[in-house]
Amino acid sequence: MTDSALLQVHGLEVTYRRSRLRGGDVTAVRGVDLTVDRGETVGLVGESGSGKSTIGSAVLGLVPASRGGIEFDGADITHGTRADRRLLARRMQVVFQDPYGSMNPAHTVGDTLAEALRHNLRLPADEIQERVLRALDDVGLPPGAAHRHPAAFSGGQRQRIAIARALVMEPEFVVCDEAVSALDLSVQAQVLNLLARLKRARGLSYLFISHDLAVVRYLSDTVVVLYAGRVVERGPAVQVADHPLHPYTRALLAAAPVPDPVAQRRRQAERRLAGTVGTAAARTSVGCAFAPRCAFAQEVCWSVQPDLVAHDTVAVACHRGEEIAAGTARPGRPPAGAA
Amino acid sequence: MKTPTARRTASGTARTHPRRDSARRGFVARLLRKPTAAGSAGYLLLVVLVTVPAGPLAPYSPDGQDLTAALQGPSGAHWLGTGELGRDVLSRLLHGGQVTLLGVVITLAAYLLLGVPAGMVAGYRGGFFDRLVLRTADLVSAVPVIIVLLVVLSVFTGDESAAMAANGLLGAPLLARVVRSATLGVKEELYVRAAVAGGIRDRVIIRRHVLPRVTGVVLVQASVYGAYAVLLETGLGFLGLGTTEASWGSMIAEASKNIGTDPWLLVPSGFMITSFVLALGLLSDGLRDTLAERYAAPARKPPSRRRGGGLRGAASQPVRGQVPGTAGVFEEPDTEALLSVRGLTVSLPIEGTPTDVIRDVSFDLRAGEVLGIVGETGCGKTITATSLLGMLPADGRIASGSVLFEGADLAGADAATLRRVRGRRIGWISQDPVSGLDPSFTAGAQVAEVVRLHTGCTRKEARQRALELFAKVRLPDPARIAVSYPHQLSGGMAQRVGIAAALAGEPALVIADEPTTALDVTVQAEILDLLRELRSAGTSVVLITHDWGVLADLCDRAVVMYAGEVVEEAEVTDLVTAPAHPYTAGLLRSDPHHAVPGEPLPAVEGAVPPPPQWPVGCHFQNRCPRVSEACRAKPVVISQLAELERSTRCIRPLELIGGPAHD
Repeated sequence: MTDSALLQVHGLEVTYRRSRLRGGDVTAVRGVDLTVDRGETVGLVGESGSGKSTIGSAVLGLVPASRGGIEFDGADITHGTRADRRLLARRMQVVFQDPYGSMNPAHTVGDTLAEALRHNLRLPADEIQERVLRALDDVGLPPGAAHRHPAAFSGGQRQRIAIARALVMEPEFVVCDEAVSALDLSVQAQVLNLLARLKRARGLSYLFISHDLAVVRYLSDTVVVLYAGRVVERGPAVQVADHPLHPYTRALLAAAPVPDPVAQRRRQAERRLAGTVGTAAARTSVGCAFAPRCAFAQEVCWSVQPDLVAHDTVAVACHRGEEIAAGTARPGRPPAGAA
Repeated sequence: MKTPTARRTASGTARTHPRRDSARRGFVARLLRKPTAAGSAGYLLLVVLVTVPAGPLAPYSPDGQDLTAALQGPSGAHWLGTGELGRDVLSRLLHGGQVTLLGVVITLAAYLLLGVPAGMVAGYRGGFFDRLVLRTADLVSAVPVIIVLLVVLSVFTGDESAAMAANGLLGAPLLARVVRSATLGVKEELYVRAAVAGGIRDRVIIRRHVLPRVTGVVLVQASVYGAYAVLLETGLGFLGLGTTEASWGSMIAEASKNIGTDPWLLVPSGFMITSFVLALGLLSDGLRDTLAERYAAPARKPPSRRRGGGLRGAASQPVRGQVPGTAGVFEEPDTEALLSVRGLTVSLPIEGTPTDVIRDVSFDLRAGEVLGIVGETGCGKTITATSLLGMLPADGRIASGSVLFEGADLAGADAATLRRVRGRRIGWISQDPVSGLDPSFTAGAQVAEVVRLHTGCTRKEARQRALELFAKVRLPDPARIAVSYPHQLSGGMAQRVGIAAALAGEPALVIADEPTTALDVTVQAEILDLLRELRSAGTSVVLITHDWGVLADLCDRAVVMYAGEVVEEAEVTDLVTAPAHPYTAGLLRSDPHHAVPGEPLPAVEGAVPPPPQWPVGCHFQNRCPRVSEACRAKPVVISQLAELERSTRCIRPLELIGGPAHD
């Protein structure tokens, strides 16, 4: 591993135990490799069921890894004890999606922000207060906010509070799990600006989990695209978002509507030509998980799991990645289920 | 932050808004505001206060005999009469309360000290300990309590304390099971996950987050069990198994022996036991309600962010319920249009005051057109849509305006007319497809029921029609979907079923409230394709969305709403390429699709004001970069933009050509 790497995930697999009555165990993440450098923002993009949030939870130690390893600043934290986690919490924090559920409604904002300082760092009261007020100031809230309950704040303000809660610990690394997804556009822009400013001011690294490629493109240096628990494409954010190689990334990009009716009509036509169909329901047990929906799928895609292969700065897990990159790929055969 | 003093210091620098925050008021204060709970607590306290120091209070010794005055009714010397051997009933009641209450305390101590920790740890930690607690609870449920107590009493003859302790221990595993399931719910809360990620120890999390949440359940269980302990003590006394001293139970036994000669004897002790048990029950109800208030889910709609009335200065006093004059563009309803809304104003009570939540909303929808209503949370999009169909919340009403649909005004229509229109002429597609379906019926049965409702056809025809509708909304394998239950469908499939149900009455207009917001983007694209097909087939659509991309994808025209008003109305292409209203422009610019990495996003600072805080004049004034004195002076009317097919509610609209609106 390189010196600049802050977080390294290798071969991560996460399986949720579930009784046979409820369909048996579910493997949400299947062999994911991931690196976050110091000061870097890595965006994890994918749809529901892609395993993006599970990766975040595994890094935070909220779900156990079934296989593989997670290293933070050179130390293996895969199977850390609670004591290890307590130390790690000073360096690694989280901002969750739901600004309504992530704070105990019975506690004041100040109490919520002070919790980890009091019970983990065990700082003296005056220092706790100083840090809480500074964190509130950092996220643009008045000091009086500390005495009020979460119910007194709007969604955007609560998300600022959630960010402040992460900041009081003065971490180096923050997992943002759909941190702006529940917010309205104008508020989302405010919070994205806040995250960008904090990153610059404090040299933070983010693992930024989102379903929205446009948001990830804006905030991230590197983007990792996940499908059915596997990395399908990884590379510089702008490169991947503007010139995606993997058919799934292309489908994701084509499906996200742009706020321009003229461009949107053109994209509708392109999307129909690309021929991606169906939802993630149909999956093969061997081969590429995306094959049943893929316009480019060939025989090999149904039988062999493709490896992540580098093409310049971008790595793609696709048997036809080279052809697609060269622009010579033609659709293989109509995907299963296409009417 | 730990001491109240520290907190006060911090508030010195803050501009805190006085607001009624029920979570902040003291728990006891809130409990005592409930008359029943306060009365019960007072009564229980009184009973405790007179029984604990019974010695000095009681007029006689509990065992003092006066054979000359046995079994007498109330008198000046013996207020509650006398029992066998002439013992004073009042004195025995007071002294007996000590024995009985001690029994309750012993029972509850054993019950709570064992049951609560065991339940919380079992629920929070899971694993072996969890299984142990559950199996123990199963085992205890199968044990006949009375037999165990008889065994205990035969070992500790006449020692009620041992029996009561045993009783508490026997109940504890059952309490643990209840606490465990409450804990499981709390454990999934995001703030508990956040605390774990903050490196907080389990016992601190259990104390800070879990314990307060299960307290309600525990208090209810404890008061019920406490009442049970009183009755058990009485039962033991009645059977002669309990103590030989005075207790409420032994007094009942004494009274029952003499029921023929002195029925009065049953009244004091019977009243005592009944009222005590009743008061415990009433208090537990009050406790539970008070605790529930603390954790009541905050409403997710802006009305919850309102502040108390009466504290605002006159300048910011909004015109609640007062409609400014409608102007120019939208005067008469457009009789050519399929739907023509004019001056629609809807009022909902906010903190008891009827308040306009949308005001003077006007727009037209031509047949075969898709009209988008776009805006942020709290701007009144959904209220507008629901008011069209008369589906406002129960206490909401249309204060003024008209909704002309196919020549009839729906705003003033009676319930029967609205029922005829709903589903048959206007279909509704909701945001959350899965919860829009009843989990206990198959998708096919639900859609067939809607078909039958609208057409009155036979069941068989309705089932057939449901299958046709499923095929029409491009569900793969309609026959299989028809026999599937909602939980077996993916979000996209459930939304297609929802659309099929909306189409069952072959409506001329479909209103879709954020139909794709809950869906993944690839599924969203398919649903948008489907809605586009509907439009091609001649159905008009009103689409509510917060997403400019969705608007651009599907809509012909759009109205932009801000804080309850229509601020702009135009063709979508014109709107996104050259917005006239500063809000439209600001909202478009903050869309991350236009974002340049590394540069700040042009955000609109501030937030949408909730209805009670709408300013006089333009509602956007406090966030607008172009605001002037005139914007604050008086309400702004919506007006047509020079010769164009569009209008805006702005006195300083942006330049339409070469304007700074779009990058």
